[in-house]
Amino acid sequence: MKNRLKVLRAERDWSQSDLADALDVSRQTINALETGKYDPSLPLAFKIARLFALPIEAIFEDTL
Amino acid sequence: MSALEKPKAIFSPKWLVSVGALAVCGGAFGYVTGDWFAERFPHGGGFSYLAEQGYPPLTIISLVLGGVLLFIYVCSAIVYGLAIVNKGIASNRVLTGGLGGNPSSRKAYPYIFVFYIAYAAVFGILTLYAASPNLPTSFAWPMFLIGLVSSIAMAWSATKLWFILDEFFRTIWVEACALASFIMLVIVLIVASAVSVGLMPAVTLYSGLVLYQLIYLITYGIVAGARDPNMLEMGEPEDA
Repeated sequence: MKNRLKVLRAERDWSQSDLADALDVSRQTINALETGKYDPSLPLAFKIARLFALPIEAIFEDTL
Repeated sequence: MSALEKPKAIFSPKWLVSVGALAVCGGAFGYVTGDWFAERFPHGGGFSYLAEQGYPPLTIISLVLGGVLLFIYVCSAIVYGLAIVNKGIASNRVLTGGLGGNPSSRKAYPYIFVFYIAYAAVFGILTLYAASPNLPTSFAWPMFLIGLVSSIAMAWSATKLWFILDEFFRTIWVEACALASFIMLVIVLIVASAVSVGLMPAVTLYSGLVLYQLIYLITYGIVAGARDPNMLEMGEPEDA
């Protein structure tokens, strides 16, 4: 699954640590999400959507 | 540092120097222990000595590998114990199995420390009894109680860790456990079949436990390496 986390984060000039703190997850989680190594759980995906004030589909893209 | 700068290369000079230093220390340790064994067992190594004592080959292999695993668990307990009090060690992601120095990881280190202490205690007892099955019976109850308390401590610390570490680490843990269990199940079925029809001698539970731990360590390394692109970086990675 592709996502726009890296772009959204860069637009706000946030570091991975800033985003990790805002979402209450580890820095490694953000790193793995951005590099496409890990897909978030639904609760985390909703949390990310709320943080960026965007619908989930605007952040995550189904590659199938 | 801008948010979009590339991460540091895995094979940085600092990483190479660290690996080189570890290799030198490992070589020195191997030389000293090898020299000690050569003096102590002039007519053969530890394998020959154990074989002379009547241990079957599979038990000898299990005991040697079990000793290595026990050494790893004791070292892990020391490293995580130091990570509780030393921020430099806590942020070293190679030493801390990829956890690093972020707040949730630092909160987890005391429980990982307890887990490895308890694990080393239980596994040490099992190794002791596998190596010396004829220990005095007066040892039985104290050993059992230590094993029982340590096992409960392991379960308690693992439950705490489940809730402290975030979903990414839980996923790695679950995937590694599932993969290792499935591989072990296949091996157990094959070995049990071979033993049942008399193609090979019976295998002890201790040998099975040693094999499972080796398989788990390998699968954890593979799963964590695939999930965490910066697992082999010594420090916290720069923003990807």
